[in-house]
Amino acid sequence: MVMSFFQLLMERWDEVIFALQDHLVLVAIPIGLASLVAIPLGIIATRNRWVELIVMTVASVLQTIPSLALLALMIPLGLGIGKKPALVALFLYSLLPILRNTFLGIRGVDDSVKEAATGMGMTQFQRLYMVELPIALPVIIGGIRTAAVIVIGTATLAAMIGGGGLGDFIITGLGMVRDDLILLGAIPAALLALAVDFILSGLEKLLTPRGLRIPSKE
Amino acid sequence: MLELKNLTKVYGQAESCHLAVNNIDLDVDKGEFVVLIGPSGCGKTTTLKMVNHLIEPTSGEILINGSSTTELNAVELRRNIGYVIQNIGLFPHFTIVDNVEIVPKLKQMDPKKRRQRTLGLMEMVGLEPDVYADRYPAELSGGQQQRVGVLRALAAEPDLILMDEPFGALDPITRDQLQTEMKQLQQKLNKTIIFVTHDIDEAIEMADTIVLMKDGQIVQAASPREILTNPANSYVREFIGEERLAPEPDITPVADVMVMQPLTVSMDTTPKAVLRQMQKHRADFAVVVDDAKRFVGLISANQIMRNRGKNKTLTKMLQTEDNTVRSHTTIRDATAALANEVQVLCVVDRKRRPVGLVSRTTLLQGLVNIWDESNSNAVI
Repeated sequence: MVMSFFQLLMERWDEVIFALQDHLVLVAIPIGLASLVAIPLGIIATRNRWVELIVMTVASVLQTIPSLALLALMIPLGLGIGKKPALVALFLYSLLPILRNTFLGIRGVDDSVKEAATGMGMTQFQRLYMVELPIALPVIIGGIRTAAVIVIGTATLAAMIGGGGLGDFIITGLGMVRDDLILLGAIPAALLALAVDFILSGLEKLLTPRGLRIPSKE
Repeated sequence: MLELKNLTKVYGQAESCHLAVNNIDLDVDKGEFVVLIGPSGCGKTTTLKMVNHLIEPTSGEILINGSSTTELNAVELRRNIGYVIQNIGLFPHFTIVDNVEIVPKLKQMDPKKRRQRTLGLMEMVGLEPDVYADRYPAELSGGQQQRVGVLRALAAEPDLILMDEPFGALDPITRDQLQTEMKQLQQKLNKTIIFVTHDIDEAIEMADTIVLMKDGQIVQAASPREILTNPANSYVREFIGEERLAPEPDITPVADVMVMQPLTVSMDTTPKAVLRQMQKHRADFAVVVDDAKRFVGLISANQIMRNRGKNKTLTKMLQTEDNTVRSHTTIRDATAALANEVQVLCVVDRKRRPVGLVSRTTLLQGLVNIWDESNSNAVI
C-alpha cells in the first residue's frame, strides 16, 4: 500500500499541488475574514457587556454545530453548493477561537496596567493600541492559530458540498474504497496543519513583546 | 492649589445607594503633603480618584489653582497630574525609560529634552541609567518598580501628584526606604502631594496634613502633631492607637496645661478700663483682640502702670511681638519660646482667636502633673 501511495503521488503530483492550493484558499480566506471581523468584535466585547453577551453566545452556538452539519446547512440556506458555501461555513467556524482569544487577551491585561494607562492621560484609543493590543497580541495570534488548525481539518469536509481542496481525494477514496486515494488527501492535509501550526507559533513568539518574555523577578 | 468643595460621590440609585464620599471640603496648599487615611471603605481612594476624574463626582467641585476641573478635558487634566497607583502598574512591554517617558510622550514634548530629564530622574532615585534604562519592569524588584512608578508620575513635571497606597504592596524595609526617599523628593521638588494610605505610621511619617476619614466624611484634618496631641474625638484616638498618644513633654500640647479663658479686651478699650477688668478677674495679663476676636497683642498690668499719665491708647502700649502658640504646640517647644524675655504666650486657635495663656510657671506645673500621673500609673 505504501508503494502504491507513492506511485499515486508521483502520478498525480500536479493534481495534489492544485488541491493543496485550493485547500489553502479554503483556509486563508475564512481565517483572514474571520480575523477582520472577530478581532474588532472581541475588542468591542471587552468594552460593552451587551456586545460581549450577544457575540460570545452566537459564536459559541455556531461552534457547537457539527462541522459537517454546518457545511450541509449552507445548501438549504440558499447558498447552494461549491466554493461559496464552503467559505461561508468555514468563516463562521473560525470566528469563535479568534473572538474568544481576543476578548480574553484584552480582558487579561492587568487591571493596574489599564488604570495606569488611563491615569497617565491616554485616550481610550491610545490605551488600546499602545498598551492593550501589544500585550494581548500573542494571545490573539494564538486564537488565529487554533482557528487555522481547526479549519484546515474541517476544510477537508468542504468537498462534501463541492468546495474542492484536499477533501476531494478523501471523498473519492472513500467512495472507491481506495486507501491510497484517502491518504493522498489526508497526509498533505495533516502536514499542512502541522506546518501552519509551526509557522503561527513562531509568529506568536516573534510578536510577544520582549518585556513579556522575561520571567518576572517577583 | 487644590480645593475640594462639597464633593460627593454616590454609588447606585435610590434606596440601594451608597454614599462613598459625603460632602467633603478640603483645601490643599502648594507644596503641601496631604495624607488621606481611614479604614477601607471610608472614601479616601474615591476622593483621590475624583481629583483626576478616574471617578466622576456625583456633585460638588474640584478646583485646581482656582479653576474648576469639571469642564476640563479629563485626558488633558490627567496628563498634568502625576499618578502613582497601588499595584505599580508599569507597562510590561515598555522599557524603563519608555515607562518613565510615557506622559511627556503623550504631551509630545521634545524627545531629547524628555530623555535627558528621564535619565536625570533615574539617577536621582538611584536607578543607574546605564544599567536600568533599557531593562523591562519584570527584571526589576518590587521596590525598584515602584521607584519607576514614582518617576513616571514626575516625568512631565506636574505640580500635583496623586498617590494611591503606593507602598502598600512592598515589604516593610523597602517601604521605609521609599517613604524616606519620597519625602525628600517632595521637599526637593516642592510638589503638592495627595497620598492615600491605611497605615497611620506612614501618615505620621510623611504628612504635613493628615486627613482622617470615616464613612465618606472627614473626621479630622490637621498636622500629625495636632492629631497626636489633640485628637478630635474617640474615633481618632482609637484609630491612632493609644500607644502613640502617650503624654511626654515632646508631644504633650500646651492645651493640656494652659490657663483657659484668658481675659480678652477689645482694641478700643481705655487702659484704665483694662486695669479695672484685670483687677476684677485677678489677671496679670489681658489679650487684646480685634473686632473678629483675633489676637492683636498682649498687655500686662505692669505695662499699663508704666505708661500711666502718658495719655497713650491701649494699642500703643501693646507688646507687638507675635507671642502666640497653637494649642497643639508641645510643652517643649513652648518652653523654648518662653526662654527669651517673653513672660507669657497666648495660645490661639486656627483663626488666631485666643483660647488660653501659658507662662513658664504654668508649663512647669503642667510637667509636674504629667510626671505624677505617669508615676502613679507605673505604681498601679
